[in-house]
Amino acid sequence: MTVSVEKPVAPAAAPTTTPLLSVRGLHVAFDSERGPVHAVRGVDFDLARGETLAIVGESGSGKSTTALALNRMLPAAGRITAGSVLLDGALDLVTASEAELREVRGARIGMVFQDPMTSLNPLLTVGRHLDEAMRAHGVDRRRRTARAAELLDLVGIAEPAKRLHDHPHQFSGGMRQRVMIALALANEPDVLLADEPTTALDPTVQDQILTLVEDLGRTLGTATVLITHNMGVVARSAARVLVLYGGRVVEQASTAEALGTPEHPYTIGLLRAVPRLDAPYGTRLEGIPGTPPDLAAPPVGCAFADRCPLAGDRCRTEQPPLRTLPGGRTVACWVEDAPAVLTAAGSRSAAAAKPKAPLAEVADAAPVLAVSSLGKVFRSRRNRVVALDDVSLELFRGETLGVVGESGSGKSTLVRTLVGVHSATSGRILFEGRDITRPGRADQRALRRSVQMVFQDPYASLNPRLTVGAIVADPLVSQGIGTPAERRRRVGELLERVGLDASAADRLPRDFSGGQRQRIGIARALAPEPSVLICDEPVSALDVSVQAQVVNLLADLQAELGLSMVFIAHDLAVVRQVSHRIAVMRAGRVVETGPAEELCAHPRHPYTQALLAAVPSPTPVSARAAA
Amino acid sequence: MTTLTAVPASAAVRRPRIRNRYLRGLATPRGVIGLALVGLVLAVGLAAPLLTSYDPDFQTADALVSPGTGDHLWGTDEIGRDLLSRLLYGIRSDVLVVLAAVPIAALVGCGLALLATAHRAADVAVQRLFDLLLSFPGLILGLTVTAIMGVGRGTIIVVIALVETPAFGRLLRGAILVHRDREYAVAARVGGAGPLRLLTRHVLPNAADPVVVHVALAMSVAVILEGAMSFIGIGIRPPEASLGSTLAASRPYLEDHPAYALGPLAVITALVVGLNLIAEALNRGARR
Amino acid sequence: MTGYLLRRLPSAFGVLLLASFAIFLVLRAVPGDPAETLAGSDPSPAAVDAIRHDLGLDRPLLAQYASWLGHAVRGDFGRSYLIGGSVSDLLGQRIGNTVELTLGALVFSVTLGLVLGVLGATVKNRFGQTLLSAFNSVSLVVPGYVTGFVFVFLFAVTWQVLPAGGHESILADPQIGFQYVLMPALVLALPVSAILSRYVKDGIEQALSEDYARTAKSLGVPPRRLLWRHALPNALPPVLTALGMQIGVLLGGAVVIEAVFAWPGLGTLAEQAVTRRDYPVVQALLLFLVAVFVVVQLLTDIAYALLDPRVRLG
Repeated sequence: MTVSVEKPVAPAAAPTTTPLLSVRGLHVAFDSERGPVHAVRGVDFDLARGETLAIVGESGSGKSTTALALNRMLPAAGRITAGSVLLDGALDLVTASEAELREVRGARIGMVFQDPMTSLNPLLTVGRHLDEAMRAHGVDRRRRTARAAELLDLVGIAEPAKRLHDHPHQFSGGMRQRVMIALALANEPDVLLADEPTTALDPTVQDQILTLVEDLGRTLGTATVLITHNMGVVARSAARVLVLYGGRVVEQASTAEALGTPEHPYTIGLLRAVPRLDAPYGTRLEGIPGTPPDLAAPPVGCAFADRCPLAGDRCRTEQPPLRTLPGGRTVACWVEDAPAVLTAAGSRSAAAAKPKAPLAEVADAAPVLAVSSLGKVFRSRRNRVVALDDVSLELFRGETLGVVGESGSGKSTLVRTLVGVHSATSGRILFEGRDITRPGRADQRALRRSVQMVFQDPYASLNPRLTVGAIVADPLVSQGIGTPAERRRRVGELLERVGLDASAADRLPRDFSGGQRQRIGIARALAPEPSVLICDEPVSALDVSVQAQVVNLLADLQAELGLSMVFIAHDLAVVRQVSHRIAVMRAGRVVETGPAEELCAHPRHPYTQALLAAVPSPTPVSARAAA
Repeated sequence: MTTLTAVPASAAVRRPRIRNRYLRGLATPRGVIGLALVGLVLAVGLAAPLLTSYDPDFQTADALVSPGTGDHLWGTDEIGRDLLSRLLYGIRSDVLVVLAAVPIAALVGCGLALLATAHRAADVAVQRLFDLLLSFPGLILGLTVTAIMGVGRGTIIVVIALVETPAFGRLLRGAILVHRDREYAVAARVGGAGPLRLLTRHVLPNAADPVVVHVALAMSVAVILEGAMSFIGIGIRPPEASLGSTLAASRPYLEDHPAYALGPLAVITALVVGLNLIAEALNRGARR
Repeated sequence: MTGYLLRRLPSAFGVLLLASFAIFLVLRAVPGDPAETLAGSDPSPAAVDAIRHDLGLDRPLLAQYASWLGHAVRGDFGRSYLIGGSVSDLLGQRIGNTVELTLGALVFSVTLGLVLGVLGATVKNRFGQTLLSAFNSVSLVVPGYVTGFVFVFLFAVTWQVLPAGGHESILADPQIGFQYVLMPALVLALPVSAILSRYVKDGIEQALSEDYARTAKSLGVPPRRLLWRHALPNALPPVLTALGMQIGVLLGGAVVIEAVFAWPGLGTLAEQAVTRRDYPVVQALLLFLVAVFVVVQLLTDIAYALLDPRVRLG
C-alpha cells in the first residue's frame, strides 16, 4: 500500500459556507408485487465542495438507491416519497423539472456505475460517447472534438486520438471504466457519484481505478460520493463515511473515526466481520447473526435491533435519532456507550473462539487428492482456450487448501475438473492413490461419495422446483444411500448442523435468503459424508456479515468432521482466513504455493505481491501510519 | 456456530391455493375466457348430431336461404346444404386434424430434442433438419408437401406436424441446454445423479414450461394453417365439410348472404383467440 | 465490409444451387408419372413413351437436372404439362402482381411495425397501452383470411369505399391501382406488423433498461435523443432478423390473400399446379421462392453487419 499523506480532511473547518449538496429526510420506495419496499427511510447528509464521502453498507442497505435518488436516476419502479436534495442550497432536485434536472445531470453531477462491460453503448464509438456527453450541454462541435481526445488522455488511455474511433468491445474492463470516468467528468461536474465503481473489476485493476478517481478529484476539485460495500475501499479513498443499514444512516464520521473507533453496534459488527490480511493468523471472524430486515415491512424501531446484541425494548419500538457526538460525528443508537458494552461482551466470545488448530504433521503422509500437470483446453468451432496449463497441487488429509486468482485464472475450471464435471485434457488426478482422471463406474461411485462440492451462486445452485428436503437428500437418493425414513432423519440432522431449522425441509429455496441458501448447499454437500469438500467461491456472492457466518461454519465443519477442503476465492483475505496452505493461480497456471501465513507475509512471486498490494485494508490510513 | 437462522415469516406463510402452476395460470380471467371459448367450440362440434338433424352433404331444394327462415336455423348454401350442419361437421374435421397433428409434432419434436441433447453428432443432424424445415413458411411447406403427397387429410396432418416439430424441438433443446448448465444441475451431477436422473428429476421439470405453453400455440397455428390450406383448395376439399372450404365457397355471396361466411369466421376466430389466451395464461402461470 | 461480402456471397450461391437440386430431385422422386397422366385415359404404352421422350423424362436424372438448370437460368422453365404454354409466360405477369402485393405488404408492415412499436415503448398512459396491446394481439392471432373477409364486408360491402377485389396496375394508374392494392396489402401486413412492432417495442424497452441508457441519462442526454439515437439502433438488429424471416411468411400468406381478393397472382396458379402435379410449374415456383429467401437472407446479413460493429469488425 502506498503512503497517502495528503488525504483531504473532513470539512469541519467550514461550517458557514453552504454545502454543495444537502440531503434531508430522503425517503425512497420501490413498487413490488408485495407492495412498496421502503429502500431508503430518512437519509440526511451534506456534501462539501471537493470532499470525498463514502456511503457504505451491505446489499439492501439503500446505498445505491440513495445515490440514484440524488439526481433522480431511479428505475421506473422507484420513487422519492419524501425529502429534499438541495444543490448549492438553492435548487431542490427532488422537485426540479425534468429540464432543470437535465441541466444538472452530467454538467453538475457526473456518475460512474458498477459494471463497465454493460455501461457503454455497444453501437457507439468511444468518441461518440464523449461527443454525446458534451453535446447534451451545448458544447460546440469543434470544441467537442478537441476535448474528447484530451479527456481520454486525462484518464490514462494511450493514443487517445486513435482510440476515439474504437467501439467499447475493443477495450478491456478496466479501460472501459476509465472511459466511464472520462464521460462523467466531460463537463467538469462539481459532484462525481461513483456507484461501486470497482466492484466488477479484479483487485489489481481496482487499485488503478481508485487511484485515478482520487487523483482526478483532487486536480479538478470535484467532490466525490463513493458508494461501496468494501471497507477497504472506504479506508483507502474516503475522508468521511456514512454507514447505512436498513435504509437509514446509522453512523456518520470521518473515515479514521468510523473505522478506528466505530460507535454503532452495526458498524462495530461489520468491521469485525471483515477478514483482514493484517490480523494475526488464525483470528476468528465474527459474523453478525441473522439477516437484514425485510423493507417491505420495515421494523418500527431500530432496523438493526433484531441482530443487535445490545438491543433493548426501546430499540424495537422507537427509531433512534442521529445523536451528535463531540467532534461532529453522529450515530443513531439508543445505547450511549455501545463500544464499551460490546467490548465487555466481545472479550468473552473472543476467548471462546479457538485459534485455528495447527495442522498435524503431514510431511510424510500421502495426499488425499493429488493433481499432476493437469491441463484443460476448451475447444469451440472457432477458438481454443487454455483454461488450465500444467497445474500440480496436493491436498492433504484434514487440510484446507485455498486457491486464489482473478477472474479467468482457471480456478473454477480446476474444481470442476477435480469433481469430474469437466474431463481433463492432459495430466493426472489421484484420489487416495487411485487414478481418477478418467474414472470407471466403481471409481466414479466412490468419488461421488467422498468428494462433494459447494457452489458459488446461492440462487442458481438450488433447483427451484424441489423442496429443501429433496435438495439435501438428492445425493443420498442418487447414490442409493439409506431408506426414505433414514434420509428424512439425516436431512433434519444436516439442516440443524448447518444452523437451519429442521422444518426448513418442507419449504422451497425461494423462501430463503442468500446466506441461508448457501447453508442448504453445504448441507447437501455434507449429505453423503464426504471426506473432501470443494468450495467454489462459496462466499463471494454474500454480504460481509453473512460471509463471516458461512466462513465460520465451513471452518467449524472442517475441524469437527476432519474434512479435507479446497477453498476457492478471489479475495485473498478470506482465503487466508480459512486456509492452511494457499495456491495462487494466474492464467491457468499455479504461480505460487505455500503456507497461508507465510505466503501472505512474504510473497515470492511478483503476481502474488501485486495481488496483496492491491487488496485495500479496512484500516484507516492514519491508524496505519501510527502503527 | 451461529444461532438458528429464522425464516422471514412473511415469505413462508403465503402459499398459493392451487399448487400446480399451470392450473394456477389457467384459473385467471384470461385462462377462463380462453378455456370457455375453446370448450364451447369443441362442445358444439362433439354434439353436432344432437344439434342438427340435417346431413351436412344433403342437398335440399332451397339454395341460399337466409338464417331463421324455413327449416334451416342458419340458412343454406348455394346448392341447398344446411349451413349449420356444415359448420358443426366442419368443426369436427378441423379438430380431428389438429388433435392428430399437434401431438405428433410434440412427440417427434421433443424426441428429437432429447436425442440432440444426448449426442453431439445427432445434435448437428437434428439442428440442420430443424433449420431446413423452419426456413419454409407454413403455407409454402403446405404447397410443397401437397405437390409431393397429393391433396388430402393426411397431407394436412403431415404439413402441420412438419411445421410444428422443429418449433417443439428447438424450444425443448434450448431449455435443456440452458438448465443442464445451471449450477443446480451441476450440483446434482456432483451429488451422483446419473444422466437419466439428472434429466427427469432436475432438468426436465425446469425445462418443460415453454413446451407446455407451446402446445396451445401450436394448436392455434394448426387451426389457422388447416383453414388456409382448405381455403385455397389444397386441404380438405368439397364436398366434405371444413371451415376453410366453406369460407372459400361463401366468398361470392358475402354481399347477399353474409351469414354464410360468418359461421366459419366466428368459429376460427374463437378457436384461435381462445387458444392464444390459454397459451398466455399458461405462460404467466409458469413464470410465477 | 467488402471482405464480409466476399465471405458471405459464395455460401449464398451454394445454398441456391443445393436447393435447386433438392427441388428438382424431390419432385422427380414422387410417385405418379406425369406422362401417364398426360396421355389421358387408357393410353397405349407407345403413346406414353412418346410423351415421356417428348418431355425428356427418359434421360438420366443428372442430365435432366443439368439441362433444366441450364434453361432455368436463362428464364426457360419448360412447358406446363397440364395448363399448356411456356411456364415463363404463365408465371410472368403473375409474379409481378404477387411481388406488387408482397412489397405493398412489406411497406405497410415495416411502417406499422415501427410506428406501433415506438408508440408501445413510449406511450405511458394506461388506456393507450391497453389499446395498443389489444390491437397488436388481434392483428397477431387472427388469420389473414378472416381479417380479409371482415375488411371486404366493411369497406367494400357496407361502406363501399374500396373495391372488393381484383387488380389494376399501379404503374398504369397509381391512384386506382392503390385503391385495389390497399386492402389486400394491409390485411397481409397486419400479422407481420404485429410481430415487428413487438420486436421494436421489446427492443427499445430492453435498450432503455440497459446500463448504457442509464449512463446516457446520467449525462443529461434528452429523452428524445436517448430514444432515437441510443435505444432504437440497439433495438433494430433483432427486428431485422425477424423481418428477414417474415418475408417468406408474406409470400406464403399472399397465396391465401390473393384468393380472398381475387388478386391475379401466383396463388391460383400455385393451387392448380400443386393439386394437379404440374412439375415444371411447381419447380419454377419453388425456385423463385428459394431465390427470394436467399437474397433476403443476404440482404439481412449485410444490413446486420452495417448496424452492428461487433459483427462487422469481429
